[in-house]
Amino acid sequence: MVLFVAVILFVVVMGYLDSRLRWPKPTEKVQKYVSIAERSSTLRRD
Amino acid sequence: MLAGHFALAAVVKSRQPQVPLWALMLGTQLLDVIFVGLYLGGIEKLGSVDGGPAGYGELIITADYTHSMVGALGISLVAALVTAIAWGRRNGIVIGAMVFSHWILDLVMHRSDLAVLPGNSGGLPRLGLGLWQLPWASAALELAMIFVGAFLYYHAAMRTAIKAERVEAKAGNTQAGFRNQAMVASVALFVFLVGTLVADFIVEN
Repeated sequence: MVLFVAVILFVVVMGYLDSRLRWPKPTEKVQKYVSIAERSSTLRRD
Repeated sequence: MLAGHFALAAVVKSRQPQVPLWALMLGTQLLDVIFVGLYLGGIEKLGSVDGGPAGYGELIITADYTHSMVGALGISLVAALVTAIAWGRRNGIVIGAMVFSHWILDLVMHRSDLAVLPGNSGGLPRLGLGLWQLPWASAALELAMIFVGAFLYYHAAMRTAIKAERVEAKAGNTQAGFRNQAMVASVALFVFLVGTLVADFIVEN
């Protein structure tokens, strides 16, 4: 039972530390590909 | 096996960063979480190979609902559906697979104590490949999983932190410190994973 409580604490603490990072949100579409238009816009000169 | 399950959650987090780590960790241990409830209710039981206190690798479980193949599939399906409703189909599939991964890893580790059907209906032969019979081999496998999980998590966290710092820098904030937070989370994960494995060795059930 001690181990079980420790495991729950582990999940809570790691969940907190992990949530401080800027991961994409679960409902956010993960952008794996950058479109050619978007890439070329970074190369454009004003 | 606790550390191995959690290490797998870390591996999946590095590949599916949109799923919160707590959800992956809870998912990978969901069968055991439900087991604890049924154990306290006297429905499922824990024992050891020789009848005494069970050390690392000596555990025999009679968990014919939570840890039966079909029972585990059912729990995984429910977890997948609940997650899909809240976070979409893709995340639902990830969590469902995560929950069932517990049974797969247990199949590798356990002696033949995993039922096929809930309640061991039909008295089918119990399953288990029994890597626990070689405790040092199973511990080495868990340790390897810990290193892989922690390494991949560290890389994914750092990548995310660097991206976030770039965004903040564009907005004029150069003191964001996301890399420090990623380092803290990665070190904490590694320490906790190793601690879980050590605790599994020390604590007798």
